Amino acid sequence: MNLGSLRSQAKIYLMGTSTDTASIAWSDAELNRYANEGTFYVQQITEFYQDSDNKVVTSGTSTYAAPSLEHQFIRLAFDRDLVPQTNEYELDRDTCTSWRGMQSGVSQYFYRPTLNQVALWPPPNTSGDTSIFGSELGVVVEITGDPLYALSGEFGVVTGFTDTEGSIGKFRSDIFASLYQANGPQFGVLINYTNDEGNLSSIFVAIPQQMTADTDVPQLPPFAHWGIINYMVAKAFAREGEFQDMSAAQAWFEAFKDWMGASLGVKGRWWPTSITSLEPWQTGDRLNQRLQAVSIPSFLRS
Amino acid sequence: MSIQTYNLAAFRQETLDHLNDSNGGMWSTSELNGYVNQAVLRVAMDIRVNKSEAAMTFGALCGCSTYLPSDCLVPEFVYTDVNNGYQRLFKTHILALDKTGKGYNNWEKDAPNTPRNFWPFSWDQIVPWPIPFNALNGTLHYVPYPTTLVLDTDTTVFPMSGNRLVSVFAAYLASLKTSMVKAKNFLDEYNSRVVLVQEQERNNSKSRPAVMGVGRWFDRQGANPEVGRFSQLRGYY
Repeated sequence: MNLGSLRSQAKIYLMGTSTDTASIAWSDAELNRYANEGTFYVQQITEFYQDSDNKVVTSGTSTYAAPSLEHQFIRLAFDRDLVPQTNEYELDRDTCTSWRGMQSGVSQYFYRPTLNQVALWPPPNTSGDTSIFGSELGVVVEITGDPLYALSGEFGVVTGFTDTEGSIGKFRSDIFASLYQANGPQFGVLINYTNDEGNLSSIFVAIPQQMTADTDVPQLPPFAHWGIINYMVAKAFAREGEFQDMSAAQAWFEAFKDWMGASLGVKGRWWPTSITSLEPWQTGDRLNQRLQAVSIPSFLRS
Repeated sequence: MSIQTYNLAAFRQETLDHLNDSNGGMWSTSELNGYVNQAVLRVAMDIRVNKSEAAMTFGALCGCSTYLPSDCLVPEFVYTDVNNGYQRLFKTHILALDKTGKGYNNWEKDAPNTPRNFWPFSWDQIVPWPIPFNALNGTLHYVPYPTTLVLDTDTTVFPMSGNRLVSVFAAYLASLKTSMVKAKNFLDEYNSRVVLVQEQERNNSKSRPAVMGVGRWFDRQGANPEVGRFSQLRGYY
């Protein structure tokens, strides 16, 4: 389903399908807001959507911005070697006291100085490959990873793959492709693909991107989209005003919970190739475990 | 006599019977069709009886992820083609790969070879390991999304016990517009009856033991040969 169909289905449940805009209690913009909120809430409960990213490192520089879509890291690697997570306390306890001023080397660990930052320790002593655009015109796509490959004065559509090994975050485009830059000689669409060789790569549970166009699709499995609809209706009934109905909101949230329970049940049966329990089969409750971690929305707490 | 057959028209009528609205005044035909199809999806999610297979190709020298088929609801297992002896690719996890070789295995830098494993990425992709040296053809065994019922004569692939659940859940969805109490009753009925259908599916597939005797010694490797084979291939981890 896309944003338009999510909204249409929610309107059916809200009995707000009239073409008379004056009679509609919930606007498209409001329902779109609930759809995006519901998408994120479903993602928090189910953690379906994962993504990866590369950060080009600079020799001697320890701290880098975390990927903008990162909700929770799963694994980080520097130059395709796992870097386990540590923190300042462990570094103070287990290394020399001057670790903050330590010379660069081969990064072995990472820690998080603050939200949206990742710091490598020790700081890397090599820089990852970068791309330098010079006077390009048109659609330019550069794949880094081969230091002998450079773009200069190209015209038209230019693409180049030069590396044949590597894995995971092998080639990742910047999430927001650069457009026309007023201060540079480039004109057109510039897409920089980075390689995870010599760089900081990550795999993470991602934040779904905001849906704006009616054709945008939630970055979740199709079967989970019905949960978003139930959440939208619950939020609509909970909104203050003459159409507020808290009992209906509570009931629709129960419908949401029911669908999330079924969705987690499906996820629990993906790739069922190992015995997870020797106990006789019993009915479990995966949803309550996740709701205890994520919590229920504030509008439903008495 | 024959058993009852269920098609879209029959699901719709039975739903109205549950709602005590046989003449269909409260809900339009298109609206009921929507509820029936959503109920068919829900039943497919819960009982997972229908299986399918689709080809997958892992590109040569490509460490990138491969997308699962778009109609894949529950992926179950992957095996290779005749050229690779129909070997199953065993599921692993990236953090499990990090633990191999007592933590010293730089598995991301392994040279291309014949994949023996894969690890899932996000909800719709898998990544083979090691990276295939040559293009590798495989087959995915999975539970597909149910086909959308469009014509009144369209049918599902569920057993009778599964078809009986569709109208109950559709009645629950329809009742959400009129009476939350009635809706909850339908949902409770569905949740209690679906367990029996799940038991039926588990007994048919024999996917795991139904009962384990108390106090008996049990060899985990013997019960699941995949565990023994995998541990022999990669060592303890």
